[in-house]
Amino acid sequence: MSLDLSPLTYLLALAFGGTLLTFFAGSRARWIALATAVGTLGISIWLLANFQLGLATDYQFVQVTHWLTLSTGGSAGLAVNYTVGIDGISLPFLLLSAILTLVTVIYHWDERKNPAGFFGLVGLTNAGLLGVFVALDVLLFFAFWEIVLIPMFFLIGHWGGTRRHYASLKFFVYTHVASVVTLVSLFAMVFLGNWGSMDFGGSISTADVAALNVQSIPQITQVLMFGALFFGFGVKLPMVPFHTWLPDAHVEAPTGGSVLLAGMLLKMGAYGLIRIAFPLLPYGHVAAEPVVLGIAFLSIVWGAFLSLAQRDLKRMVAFSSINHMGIVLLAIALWTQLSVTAAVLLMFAHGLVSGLLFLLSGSVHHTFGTRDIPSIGGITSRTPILSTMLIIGSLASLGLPSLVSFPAEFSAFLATWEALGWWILLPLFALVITAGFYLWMLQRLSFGPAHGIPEKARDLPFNEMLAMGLLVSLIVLYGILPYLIVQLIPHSAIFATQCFHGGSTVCATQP
Amino acid sequence: MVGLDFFVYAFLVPLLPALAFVVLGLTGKSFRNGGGLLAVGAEGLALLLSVFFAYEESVSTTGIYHDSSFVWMGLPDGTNFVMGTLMSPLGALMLLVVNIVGFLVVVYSLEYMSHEEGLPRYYAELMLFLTAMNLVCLADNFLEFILAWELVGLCSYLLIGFFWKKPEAASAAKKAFLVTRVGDVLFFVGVFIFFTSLAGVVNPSITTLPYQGQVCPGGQVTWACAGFTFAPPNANSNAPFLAPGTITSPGYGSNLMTLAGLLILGGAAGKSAQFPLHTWLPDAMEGPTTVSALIHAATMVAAGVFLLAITSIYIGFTSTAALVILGIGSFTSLFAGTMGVVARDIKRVIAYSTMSQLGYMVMGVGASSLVLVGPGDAMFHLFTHAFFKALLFLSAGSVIHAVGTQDLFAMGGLLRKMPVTAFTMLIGALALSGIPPFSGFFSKDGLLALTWAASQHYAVALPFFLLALVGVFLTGFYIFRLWFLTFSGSHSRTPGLHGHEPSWIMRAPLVALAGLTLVAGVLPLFGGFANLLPGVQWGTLGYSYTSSGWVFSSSDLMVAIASLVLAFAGVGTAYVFWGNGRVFSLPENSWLRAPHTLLLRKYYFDEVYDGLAHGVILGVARGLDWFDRYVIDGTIHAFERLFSQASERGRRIQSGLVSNYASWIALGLVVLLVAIIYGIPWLDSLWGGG
Repeated sequence: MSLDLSPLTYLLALAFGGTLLTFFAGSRARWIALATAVGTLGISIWLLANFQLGLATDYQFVQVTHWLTLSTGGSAGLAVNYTVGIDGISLPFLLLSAILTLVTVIYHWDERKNPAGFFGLVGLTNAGLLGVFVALDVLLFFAFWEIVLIPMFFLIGHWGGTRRHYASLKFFVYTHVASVVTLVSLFAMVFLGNWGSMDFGGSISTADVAALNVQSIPQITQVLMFGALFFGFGVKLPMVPFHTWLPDAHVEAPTGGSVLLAGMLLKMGAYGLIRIAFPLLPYGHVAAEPVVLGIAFLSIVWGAFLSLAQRDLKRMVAFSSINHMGIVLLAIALWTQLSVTAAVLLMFAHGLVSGLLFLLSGSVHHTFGTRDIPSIGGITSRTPILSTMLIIGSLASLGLPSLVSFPAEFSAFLATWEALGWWILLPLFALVITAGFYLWMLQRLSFGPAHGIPEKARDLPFNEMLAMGLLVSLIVLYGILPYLIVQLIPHSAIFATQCFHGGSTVCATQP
Repeated sequence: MVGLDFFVYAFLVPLLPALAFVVLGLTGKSFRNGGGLLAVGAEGLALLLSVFFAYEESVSTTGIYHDSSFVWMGLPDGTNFVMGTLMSPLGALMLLVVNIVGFLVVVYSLEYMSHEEGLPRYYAELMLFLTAMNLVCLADNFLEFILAWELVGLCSYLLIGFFWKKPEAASAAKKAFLVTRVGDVLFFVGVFIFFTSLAGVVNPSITTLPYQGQVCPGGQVTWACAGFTFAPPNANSNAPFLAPGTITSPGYGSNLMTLAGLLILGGAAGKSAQFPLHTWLPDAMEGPTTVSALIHAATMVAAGVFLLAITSIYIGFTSTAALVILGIGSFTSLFAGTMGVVARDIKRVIAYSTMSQLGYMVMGVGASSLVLVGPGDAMFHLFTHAFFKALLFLSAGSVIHAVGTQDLFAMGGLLRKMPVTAFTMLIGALALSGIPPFSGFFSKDGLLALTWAASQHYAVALPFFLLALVGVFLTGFYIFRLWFLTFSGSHSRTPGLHGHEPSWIMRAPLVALAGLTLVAGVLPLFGGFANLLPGVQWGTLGYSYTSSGWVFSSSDLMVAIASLVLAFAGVGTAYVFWGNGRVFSLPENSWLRAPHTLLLRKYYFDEVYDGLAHGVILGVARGLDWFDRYVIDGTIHAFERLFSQASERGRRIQSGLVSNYASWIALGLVVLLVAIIYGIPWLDSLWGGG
């Protein structure tokens, strides 16, 4: 066993260790949580700085540590490793997770209800998320995947709104059913594919990865496995019609919980599709293409229309997430270099933007005592900073150029046009609706004569302003200079989309 | 002449207002008067630079400076999205227009806006607008163009809603954004078609197209490898622009290219308020008058015409697309004019005239594409129109500033009280009507002559030419109706209405614009100014402007005479009804009541679109919401009841500890693992092995 520990291992150790400390830190919990969040962000930035572009076809910062060998009752044993590593697809998510955790801690700085528990669970969510995005072993991946769900269940169930018990239970049942289905399919892949280890990257060379193709499995089984994985990951996205847990979970979740839920937990599903379901089951995803595309289009249009119908600001933002994640699913389904790059970029953008919008929903709620859009109006006169942030967040979400969503949506739509032609009109129509519900909300909430504003309403406190300011500056930075994040992705997108299709020849020619 | 390398600094033109925007946006409150002087300074420098660039461009021999070195997003397959600057004749002209009007409007604002709340926001947004608008002029590819184009739309949204406490302003801002968004979506698809269809075209018959591909690493010529940059042609000559027949050459004159052209027209129609995406512009008058002058008259709304112009040069329209463009433009010019005839609000009348004049420009781009020349004439009208329309708006602003109302029927008799304003507005009105020697005559005549020439080749265009002529009559009528109602007569119709001239800060821009309105028409006589108008024909004046080049038939003269007669007839009719303080109103039982109401209600377009948005789309949304709550979630709840036992257990677990819950999960995991490890080989054997 090698003692060469990857920086990723330090990252996980810091995240989990800091979380453990936070749980027992009592009144100092917020400082420990802050230090942990800053630390994980620091390591993530260090990883970004030391990430080598160009050789991104393979994983970097890899550590493979053998754990145990399972006897499968037949051929040679099955190695279960602690295998971690990152590529250009996972690195943006590490950054995003660290950023959103930091933002959550800052925003909830004055949390009064059991702060140690709250910050600890937020830290645990972050630690689990980091694990999901660095794990290159099926079992490890699934273990982290489950770890993420637990703290979110409690965050909703304990710190949530009036219907928190219902919402947390719904969240739990949905995601757990999805997890079980995912697990069955994952293990089917490992065992029916006769994998020598549970690794899907890291311990094996570029050319060997192609061997993970489960070509030997009967095609009908492959399709079934893909279907199961697609369902399992898709529920997390969420995809219509398995989306109804999301608005309830968001509406009841505490603000920070919503930020992590929309910003990160939804991305786990898409990440699973990009990392596992699509590349490892090529026959399955080709066969299921029409269904996947259909669901993607349905989610896009459904999310846009449903957002328009909402009166609750937070519920509206939640449905807009369904719309945006539908575009992500569409981009993944097209499965080209451009579209996968666009999908990852879209998720990065959506993480920042929906994070900002959920923070704003929280601030609107505790400033005005309600999130019901028609019952308050003209808030600009009393809370100009809150209103300005709301305008920026809405514009970012509706895809205004110079803000981060635009390059992502533009490349996704370009890829859609290239692959599907006139179907592009459907998501573009939804884009108009998206602009419509955000501007309508602004018209009613921010502008017009002031009404429904309680006497005690004050503009944003410093910590909330800081949290939002951080997100806004990143939204602008990556909107103006998208290559800062985009340059990481495409090489890995080539690897994902091409190496697994039909063998090693394509990959062998990659640098 | 300094040489083309000086154009490297073209990026400074958008950068100067951008810096002012950042400073004002962050620290605006610490400035006296909201930072207006800083804005004037930044915009003044930008103006000096653009005058210099326009001069250099007009005397340069090669005409094009092009830099697209900044890779915004790049993919390994060679697809590069780049940002850069393109200094071209059209861009330099547009830059000149934007910054002249921009500078004068910022100066005018110093007094006009001084009593308003939220001045730092006003100047910051104005500076952001000028940044984006300069970027539109200098964009070197469609992606960058879209970026800047959407940003000017944003500024339009923010500035229309400047008086955000007024519900009308908030509603108008949303409407402007959404209606242009519909056009933008079409524009996106058009650009996507260009992206994919022009890339990889290797048909040798189109290598003469004004499109230069670059050789990709793979050896194939694609537009993608060039970063999708506009590939500038040899643009500053007066010679026919595209070789005849080019547009219909194989692989290019396809239906897809026609469609692409129409989609680009969709984007232009949204921005330039052309039928049927015109409804937002009259409402946009809820913004401050300075904003109406700069954004909704001179620059942003003209960006749609600019888009059509550069597309016609760099890519070209098929003849079908060009005919539709001509038709939409011509129809809008008349359609808008009819609504201008009955409007009561001084700003709305001018807004309708803007729509109408933009219609002439759009028509001109279509016509120039049909006769295979550059869009110089349309750009010339854009140039002159910017000055006389800004003049009209700022004069109207001076009136509103003094009398505090926008209702034409409440004014009257202001000539003696505000002689300078009345005089500058008269100059603007004459130019708009197309009365020589004011600039509007020269440029509008060029467009009419061009359309007449196009109708000689394509008979379909003839009725549209006639529509445009009727529009000339209406223009003279409604703008002088406005002038007479405002200024003529011995006294105002509202007792106690006291007009007064503004101070020199507001008068100076008025006088400057009046001067420009006078000289802009003959400016092309001097120096190399004509080089900024690629392919310009000059209409009737072509005989005196150039001795060689494209020659129209002598019917041009007839066109000029016809339009002149109609313009005078329009002015005269206005005098008969409204001159000398007369106020004409329709008799109660007149048969004209019904059409009058139709025009006042703007052909009920607002009602139809509102019905579509609130009735249909919102109705569908609420229906789907119901479906979501009761059918989809209802099904889930039915399942839930089935598993009520499980949920009971879940509720008990929830009150427990983390460790308790985690052990449940771990237990579940182990059970699953065992089941799978031993179950899978069994399945395996069932299927006959892997």
